[in-house]
Amino acid sequence: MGNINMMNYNKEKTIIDLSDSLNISDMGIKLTNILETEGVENKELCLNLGNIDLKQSQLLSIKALIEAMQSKLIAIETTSEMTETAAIGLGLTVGKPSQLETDEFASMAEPQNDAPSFSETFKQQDSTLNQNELSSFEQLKKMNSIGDFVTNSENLQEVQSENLEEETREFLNEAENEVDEAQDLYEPKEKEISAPGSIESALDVTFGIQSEPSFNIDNNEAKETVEERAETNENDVIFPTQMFKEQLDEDYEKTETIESAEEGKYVLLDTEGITPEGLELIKSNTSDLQTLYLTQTLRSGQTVSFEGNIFLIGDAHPGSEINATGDITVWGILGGIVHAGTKGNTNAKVRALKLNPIQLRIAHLYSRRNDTVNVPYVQKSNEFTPEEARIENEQIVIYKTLRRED
Amino acid sequence: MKDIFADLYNKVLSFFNKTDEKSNAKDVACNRLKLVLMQDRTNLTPAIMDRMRRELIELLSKYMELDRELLDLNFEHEDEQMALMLSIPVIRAKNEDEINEILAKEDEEKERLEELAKAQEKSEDSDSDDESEDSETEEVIEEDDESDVDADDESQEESSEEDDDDDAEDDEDEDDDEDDDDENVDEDSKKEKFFSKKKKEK
Amino acid sequence: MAGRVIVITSGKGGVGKTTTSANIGTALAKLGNKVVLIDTDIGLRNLDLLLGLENRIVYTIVDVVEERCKLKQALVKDKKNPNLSLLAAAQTRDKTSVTSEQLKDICDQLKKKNDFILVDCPAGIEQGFQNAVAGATEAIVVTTPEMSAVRDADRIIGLLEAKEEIESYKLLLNRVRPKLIEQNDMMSVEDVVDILSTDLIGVIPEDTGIITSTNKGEPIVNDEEAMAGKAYRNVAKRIMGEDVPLLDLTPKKGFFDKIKDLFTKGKV
Repeated sequence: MGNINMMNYNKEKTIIDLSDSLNISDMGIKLTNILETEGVENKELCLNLGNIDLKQSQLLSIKALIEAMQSKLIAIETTSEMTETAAIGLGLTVGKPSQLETDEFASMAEPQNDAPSFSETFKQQDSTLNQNELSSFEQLKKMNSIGDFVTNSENLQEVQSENLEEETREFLNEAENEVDEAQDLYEPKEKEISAPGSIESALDVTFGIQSEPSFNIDNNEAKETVEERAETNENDVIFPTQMFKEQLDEDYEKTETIESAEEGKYVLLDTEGITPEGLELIKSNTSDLQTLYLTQTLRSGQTVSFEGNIFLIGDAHPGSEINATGDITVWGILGGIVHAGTKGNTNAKVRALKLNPIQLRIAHLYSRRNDTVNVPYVQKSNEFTPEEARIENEQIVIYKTLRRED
Repeated sequence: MKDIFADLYNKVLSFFNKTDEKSNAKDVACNRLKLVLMQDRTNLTPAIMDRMRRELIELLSKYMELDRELLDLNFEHEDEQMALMLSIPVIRAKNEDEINEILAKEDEEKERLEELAKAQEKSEDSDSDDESEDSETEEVIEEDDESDVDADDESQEESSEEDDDDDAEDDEDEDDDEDDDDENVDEDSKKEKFFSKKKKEK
Repeated sequence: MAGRVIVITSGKGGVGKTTTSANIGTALAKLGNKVVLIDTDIGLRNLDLLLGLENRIVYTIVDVVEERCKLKQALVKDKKNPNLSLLAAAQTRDKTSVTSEQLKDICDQLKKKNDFILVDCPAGIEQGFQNAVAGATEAIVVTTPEMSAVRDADRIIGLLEAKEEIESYKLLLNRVRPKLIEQNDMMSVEDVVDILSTDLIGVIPEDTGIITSTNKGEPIVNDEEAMAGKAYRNVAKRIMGEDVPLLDLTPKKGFFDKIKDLFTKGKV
């Protein structure tokens, strides 16, 4: 079995084996590799994390990463208690690797189980030239750019080892027919799985995700992870929300500090109202403020700053900046830097049809896009779910739907 | 105005190009670039460059027979100083009699020519294309031994403008032997003078 | 410690100044130097993208100049190499936001604590160029074997020569395509060096890997295999004073190449 093990057990669901990851960034890289593969999207994922210990924040960042790649994390397989509690805290289904695996696979009849993945695989294979099966499978592996892509199906291996020209075709037809069946079977199977574990919550997550914060990072834990980064220097998969000050302190603690005498004119003693440290945090109602109404595309290098709310109809491209003392609402894709509540209003919010900011700042907090997520431009789509970012317990939280003021 | 320059530019270019028919992209690029850089570095327009080249040939061909087609004129930077590099293949060195003959003729016509030149410069200072083709008197005698006259680097500062004394120049010329080295020195000094002359004109 | 301030400039745009800055910076840092990269292309910053640091920039050089933050706060550390940091340009301002004196001040301050300050210069010869050159004592002129790039490089060299502060400048020939040179379709390294009569500090072959490395936000020097990466590492060594021979870029004619040639000839 290879490093990365991806088991398709349903058309829309996939188990990814990350149990032999070295660290969280390794995990992130593997995940990105898999999820970037063509055709791997809108999957419901189950991660096999083996005995790796993960904190809630780390798990959350993995979840955020997966969601950024257009898939959903719904279940975790782990033997680590720490990870288990973290996963439960996030409302994910948890199971022991062997148990869950066997349960699920046992619960599904063989053909239905493998049919969809086969049909997928062989369709692609079919589109490649009619070559030797084995070599074309290797090509497929390359195409998928997953070095250790192994379909963990003994069937497939058997199938490969035999002369399969005809059988493949037969199987393809068969498989296509069975896809429908498999989909019909999907619902009942789901419930069957739920029997051994606490799966009701998983269903909640899967279908009731709207009500859950999909993106939520605990500030304290973010701080911890920053410390870890200082140690390992590559703890990069988190999407941390930090205080400006903390980020700066942490990042520059290790650089040789320039003596304050030498800092000369670059030290601004009177920092009130400019640097976040001097911000006076307030919580005021943004709906009382004036609103700037814009209909344009905000391009790189363009800045909009306003005392009040900003409503932009159009996209904000990477490299643009929007600053408002109140809320920022973008009817489009938000890809630049936004800062809501620049005067310290922690009640300010950022909303967009698609939030993909390089940095998102609200009042004194800022969060940045995950390093492993490299999506400068988001493809336009009719299926965006509006998103809202706001501060909750000193952390920036993104909600998938807009919620009314309580 | 642009068209005029483009035209001139092409003329100058074709001067370089027609010699090597087999020229490839690389050589074309190199030659064009050298020319362009020459202009960039000296602020000489193609017209003036062309004229300078013609005058140089005219002058030098009094003393030796040159392959006019293969004249290569270039400026090079060397340690903050700019050098004018001229290389013309010499077909044949002329003997003393020939040179003296030409010089004598020249002396006779000198005054007339000078007047003409002055008139020309006054009237056609800006567009100096119409200068009549040089009247050469040398006969073309093919000889096998071709020797290249590689002009020495003669450093010259752009700002310095030397006094031109045509008479002095001519005196020098008359003292010339067929010794190549001596000639080189003189050529260079001439080049230099021509160059600064052009500068003045500008 | 008195670091060296090197400006990386070209005159013409698109010849690979920023790529060169990112790669030489990374290579120097990998060799154990403390390196700061300064992006002076205010309004059109890109160095952050090449280094994959675009999401970490909180303060820019304009914030430093306008005293909204301390200099060290604006330095963004590289993800992989703690020796390397970036002082980013502001995207939402223009070249006039920073003056030559201010940039010189910044360079002088950074010089005290770093081995190398690499200044990524904007294209052109206007204010942005003047600013970038202000603090530097050395220059690397990036050019490609194309007429326009060489001509602009010549102009830049002329301007650099006129600057008293610039003690030395070297030529870096980028995007060299050995095959084209072999076919006499492109000016060779010797041609360019001859025309510009300048010392060479390196020759970088055209490498498609540059595109992917840019997309990933990871300089190609980190790729041990890529020719361009190798060439940049050599440049870094030369900057440090090592005597490294130029990479042999002549297309190798192995057995397979010959066969390939046969096929390609057959196609044509």
